Amino acid sequence: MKRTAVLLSSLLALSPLSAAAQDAAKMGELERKLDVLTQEIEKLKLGSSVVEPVAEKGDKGLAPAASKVYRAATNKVSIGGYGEMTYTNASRRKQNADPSGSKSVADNARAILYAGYKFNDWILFNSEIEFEHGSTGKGRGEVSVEAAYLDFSVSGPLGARAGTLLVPMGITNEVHEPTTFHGVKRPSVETNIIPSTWRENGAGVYGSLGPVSYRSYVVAGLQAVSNTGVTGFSASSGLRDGRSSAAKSWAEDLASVTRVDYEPVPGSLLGASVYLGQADQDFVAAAVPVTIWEAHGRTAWRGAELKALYAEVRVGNADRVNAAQGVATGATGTSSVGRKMFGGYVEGAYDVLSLLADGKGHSLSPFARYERYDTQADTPELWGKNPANSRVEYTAGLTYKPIPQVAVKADHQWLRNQARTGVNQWNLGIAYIF
Amino acid sequence: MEPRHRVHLLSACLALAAVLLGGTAAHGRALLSQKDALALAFPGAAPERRTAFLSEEQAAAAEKAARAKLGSRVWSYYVAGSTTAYFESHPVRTMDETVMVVLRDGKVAFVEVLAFAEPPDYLASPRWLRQLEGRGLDDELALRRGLRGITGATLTAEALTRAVRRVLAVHEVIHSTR
Repeated sequence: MKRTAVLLSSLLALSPLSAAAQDAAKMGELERKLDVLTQEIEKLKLGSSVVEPVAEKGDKGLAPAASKVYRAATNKVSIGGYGEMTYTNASRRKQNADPSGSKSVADNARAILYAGYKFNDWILFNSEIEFEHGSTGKGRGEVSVEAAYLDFSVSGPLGARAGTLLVPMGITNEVHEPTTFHGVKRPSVETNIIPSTWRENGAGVYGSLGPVSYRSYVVAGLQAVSNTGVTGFSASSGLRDGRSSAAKSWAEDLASVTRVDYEPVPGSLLGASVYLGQADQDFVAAAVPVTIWEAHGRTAWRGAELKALYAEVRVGNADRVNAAQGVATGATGTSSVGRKMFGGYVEGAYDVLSLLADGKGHSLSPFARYERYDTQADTPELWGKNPANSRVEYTAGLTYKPIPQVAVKADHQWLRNQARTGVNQWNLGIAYIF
Repeated sequence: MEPRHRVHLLSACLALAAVLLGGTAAHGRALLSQKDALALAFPGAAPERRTAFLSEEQAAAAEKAARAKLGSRVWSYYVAGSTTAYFESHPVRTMDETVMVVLRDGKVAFVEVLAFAEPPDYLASPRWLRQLEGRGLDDELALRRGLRGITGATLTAEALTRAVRRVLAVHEVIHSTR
């Protein structure tokens, strides 16, 4: 009997019906394994925090689309950077045909590393470490902490930052990566009127609601006069040399700066900012109120880009600053700090490769920029003006980007002033961001 | 320090404290997981998960149409009715972004960002993402053509545009050979 049963089962195992069942079982098992494998691949591609998120306490009550997943489990450290190298060839003649005495310069202008760390989905640290002009060894370059702050991203309308912050004024100061602006050099108005790159220690809030965004910080004030490594305000560079660059900034005087931007359509922006502060830092026997306001706008449509900015500066008690700085009065006294400064520019560009159906991601943009600025628009009584500080500049050139992260630039600058001592120059540059 | 400067400092400290306290209460925010994203794409429906294994020829055709590298020949997607949802991860600057691209009848219905590891300043706004709605795979689906950029976040706009083109191209390849 037992032998018969073994024989029957052997026959059944050999029958076509049994083979099909086994094949089906094998196929089912293969499909199951394949499904597991594709799910594992998906998890690897998208990240386990997206596919299998770990819910945190109190995560009820908000619609799923109201917030985003910031990967907390992996990729906590962020490294990035940008840089630019430039060549400037200055004209041998000034505007008035006198010898300029200017030399050509090849410069490793900036090599910057970003380092960030994401502690969790709402607290991150961000920093920008800047190496300027190749080396500190020759007394020409410097290493600086351009930004280093903690960011508390609570919700869309409200966040907070504290640390070394970029002052939120103008177009270029906060977004100064060289792939983001045309021209080898930054706009002069955003160097001499808004002293980019301008960073300072402070804290504040930021956020956005629909098309409106804002930033409002309290920061250490500027330093109007020379002391402990800061040279103070000047006739030709305006507020620029009054920046402490977050290096043990005197905080006897503070300042507030608030910016509001409105984005009517993506890629177009209208905004303004106001800076109110004091700059005596107890080195001047009087308060030195500083007020800066600016309005800016930019738009882009298809290959065309247009941007414009106007800024004004008022310095109170500029005569007391001059006295503290030892600026001579009378006929030779043309080195006064301006008690009013202003500047504006308008720039247009067109990416001609956008006309091609498939530009392969390249862009080639001829651009032109007009700038007018004066760091001595008004000076205190007893002090005269230097007409060389009333300037008009024209820049025309090309920006070529083989990929969005790399730019090759060339331009010519006609630099004019009312003293007719301007020196034209042409510039070449390469820039990258990663 | 003069009294008005103390006011500056005090107001800054109060603002910071208010934000941090708010943050402590709100930091456990809801996460937009893949499950939540699928609920947005297929409200009230249970989508079927499918996986396409592209041949070399299919991948090459998709890359040509997308004008971008695919990165993978294995594409999982979710289908219910005429709606298909794809999930895609790509680097923005050095860190990754994960998005869901929802297609309806072969056109973009909407795009949702699930994860963004770059600083929040570079995140595309919902208003920018709305530009992608109704788009198909054509020459206008490109920055400086049919799409406007993101002010101050060009790399995000470039990366998202490439991602959507990749998804549309893969979708076309899968469905042209089914």
